[in-house]
Amino acid sequence: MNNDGEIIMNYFTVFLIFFVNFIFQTTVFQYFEIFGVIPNTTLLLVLFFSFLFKEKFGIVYGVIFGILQDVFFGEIVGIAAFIYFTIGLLTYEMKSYVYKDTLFTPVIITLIGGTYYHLMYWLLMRLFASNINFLYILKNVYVIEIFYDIFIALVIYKLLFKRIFDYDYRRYG
Amino acid sequence: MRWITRHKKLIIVTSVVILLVMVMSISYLYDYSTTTPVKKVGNIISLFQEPFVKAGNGLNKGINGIINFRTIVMENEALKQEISELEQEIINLQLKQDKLEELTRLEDILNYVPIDSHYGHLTADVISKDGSNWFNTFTINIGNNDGIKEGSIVINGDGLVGRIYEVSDNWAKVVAIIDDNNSVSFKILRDTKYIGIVSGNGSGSLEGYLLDPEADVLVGDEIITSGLGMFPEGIPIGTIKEVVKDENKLLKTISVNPHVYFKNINKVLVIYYE
Repeated sequence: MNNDGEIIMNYFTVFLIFFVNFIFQTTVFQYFEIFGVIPNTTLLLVLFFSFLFKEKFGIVYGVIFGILQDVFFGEIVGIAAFIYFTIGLLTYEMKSYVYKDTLFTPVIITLIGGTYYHLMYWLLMRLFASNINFLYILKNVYVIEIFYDIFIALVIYKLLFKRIFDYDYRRYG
Repeated sequence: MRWITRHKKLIIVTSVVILLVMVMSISYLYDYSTTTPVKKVGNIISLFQEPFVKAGNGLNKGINGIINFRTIVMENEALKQEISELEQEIINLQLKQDKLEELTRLEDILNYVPIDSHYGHLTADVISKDGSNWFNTFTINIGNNDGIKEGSIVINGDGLVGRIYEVSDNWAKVVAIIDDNNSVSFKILRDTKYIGIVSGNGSGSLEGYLLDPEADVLVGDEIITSGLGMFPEGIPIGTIKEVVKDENKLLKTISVNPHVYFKNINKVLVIYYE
């Protein structure tokens, strides 16, 4: 953080954020479940760091913490890493075409990111011969998680936007 | 050389994708393929997770206790009622126990080695759970150092939870039966001569079939592990929710509601083969 209260990020700070998030997501956040679903905060971090910063934080740590997530909880190592990598890359590449100073943006990005995550996860799991039921995941995980994610995304965006870009979007919106 | 510098980005992206696809294929082909360095990283991370989950558990209990005190009072009375009923049952079971003791004595005389004696068991705390909502996988705070192995059985007070999928030094990964493609052989508690096989159906419950198509099973029947295969005998699995007789396959298929609520597991018991 510099003198104006603006947040300056480097790879080490972002690593700490991702690391703390991973620890919390797998332990403390489990108590905030709604119908057994918790927000996928790692995905949100990957999206936000790819979208808001010119460095490639989201992509790099997306791969690393994706691998970690797979090692701890996945049946096949590499799936989450692959998804975080591709979605981080896509967000990073298209960010110059999207307005940053409206609250509509985090909603759309989270919606697309979350949909992509679940669709790709399902496709890759099918590829590796899992019997996971698409409709079950759609009903019991996807719908609830998307709403939860969007809510969290809005909160984070509102809290952090001014500090990252050093101006309040409401003045211009 | 110019080509490489000009297409640097493309090369990096392609190589990362290829690398990840390779990792996926390898981990698919070799079931337990996590390498030692990654496991070592896991050792360190699990050290961080444990205090948080313990603190969370404590806080959760405290807050729940305050919020739900009325329900707790009611539950207390219901439990007292249940205790008195159970005490009655204990007396009945005591009589059966005496008979059993006599049979064991006879077993000793005949030098019969019971199957169960090869199993050891350990209690474990759940230290982290899947954050991506797709699986009911979780990690526990015991590992190789405590003597458990891949394929050990995990149960809790309600019944069968799953099996150990991967073991590291001080943590292990547990995959729940409802996520597991591997089958569990069961028998019907009401009439233990009917046996069959169930496995996770990918939609949060279990599905399977009975070996005898004429088996007399009803919705609501309790099923327990049969002791065939790797699961020891007598662990409750769930209750039957649906019975369908498939005329073509000459099979009776069932779907089963597991007893365990997988979203809320804090303590488990690991049964391992010594």
